[in-house]
Amino acid sequence: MSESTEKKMVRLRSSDGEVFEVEESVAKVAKTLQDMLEEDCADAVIPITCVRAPILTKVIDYCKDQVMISSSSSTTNNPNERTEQERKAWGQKFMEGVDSSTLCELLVASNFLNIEGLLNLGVDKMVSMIQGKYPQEIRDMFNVVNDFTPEEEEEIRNQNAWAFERDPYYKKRSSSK
Amino acid sequence: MADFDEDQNLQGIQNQSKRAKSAASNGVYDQKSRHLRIIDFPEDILLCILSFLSLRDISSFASACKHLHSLCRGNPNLWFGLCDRRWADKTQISKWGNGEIAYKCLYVTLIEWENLIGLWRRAGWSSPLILFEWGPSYVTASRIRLPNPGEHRITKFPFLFMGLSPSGDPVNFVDSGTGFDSVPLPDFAKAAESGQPDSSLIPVSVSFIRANNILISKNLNYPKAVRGCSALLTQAYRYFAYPGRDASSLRKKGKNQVYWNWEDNEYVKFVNSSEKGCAREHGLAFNISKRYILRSLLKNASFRNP
Repeated sequence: MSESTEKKMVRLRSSDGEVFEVEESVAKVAKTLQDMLEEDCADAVIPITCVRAPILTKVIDYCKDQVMISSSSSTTNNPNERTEQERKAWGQKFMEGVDSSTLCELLVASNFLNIEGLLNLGVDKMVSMIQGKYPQEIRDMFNVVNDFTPEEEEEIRNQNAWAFERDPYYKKRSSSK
Repeated sequence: MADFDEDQNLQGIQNQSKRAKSAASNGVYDQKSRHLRIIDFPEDILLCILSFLSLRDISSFASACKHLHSLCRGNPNLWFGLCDRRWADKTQISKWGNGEIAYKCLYVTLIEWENLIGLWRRAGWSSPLILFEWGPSYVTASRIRLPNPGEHRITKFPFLFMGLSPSGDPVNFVDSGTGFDSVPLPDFAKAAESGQPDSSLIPVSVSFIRANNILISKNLNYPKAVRGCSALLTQAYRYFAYPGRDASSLRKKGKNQVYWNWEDNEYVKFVNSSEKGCAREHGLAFNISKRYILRSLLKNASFRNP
């Protein structure tokens, strides 16, 4: 019984029309898909309207790994700490070399598909990318258009002075710029 | 699968980028490029990201464009997220300041106070040791009394209480009545002059001199600043300091008790010294709950000013 459900395949269609065939257990890592599958629409192709094929590939990689980990940890005797470390290392490796636009799409995809672990990985990566950056660097990185006039920008810098009060390095950095 | 993918199959993998570009027109992506813009993110993802950042980083982030600025500015959810991320497992963030203060105020206060948590010693002395801990709606400091030979119990005497008034002002008290390691000098005149609602509680201010040095000094501005809004906090403190005893009987007793005046004291923190290389102090702080180790460590420890 369990073997037959494991081998059951699910088809997912990305926003740009590519179809991926994955095991049901892999698809079920995504809670959104799990809910859909439990409502019994497994035979049809599930459209994932807001996720492009390269992103969906990455998401499926993640889900496959989650399935592998959960099946291997149930066989090991004392998986707790070791698995935790392994997961961390794996997560870092998984996110290595992901650029900001891919990361944004991954975040939206994992939010849509409701994959908490991937969302956390993405948020961690995003946080490390934003930390210590100037507004202009953030704009460049995330393709944000500066819609402030120079006067408004100056005003905001003054308004936000509270955020810098406790940072002795801020003045130094901003004046050197 | 075949009906809609046939076309792409013919053209092969090289065309992936082309297809990506055609997807760019479906509204989720930027019109000009295939980038998904961060400002299109659902607000909860953005707030989740922001809750991990420092104020400086949030400010940079908010200065990027108008949309992000309006998201960050005056958004109570942002401040709640920041507090919740940092202290939800340590204290009850909704109870501080009687639940009436803004989370921004709480954040600004706690980001400083969280550096207090841990073991401190008086500057230049090996004792008294004081331990700062989280309470449900306050930070409290206790004197640590080490066990006598043959005993195994470390005793904590809470003596300092730091909370917030509903208007957001810090309310810090030292209880002068529980000093066990100093012989209290009677100072009736000063206690009478101070005009406190309860003379056993001395309002103090706790200020950082350097990152790991604090000065606990008498707060002379207290009666003007926070009189009247501290009754509840005082009670909470009493409940904590003397569990099981009636607050009113304590107040009565307080009038006749002998008190010592709080001296300005500088304290030095036992830093987490895995970086600084003084493993002994680190061990001490780490094992504060492990009585035997603490005892033996203290016998051998030579304390230095960092």
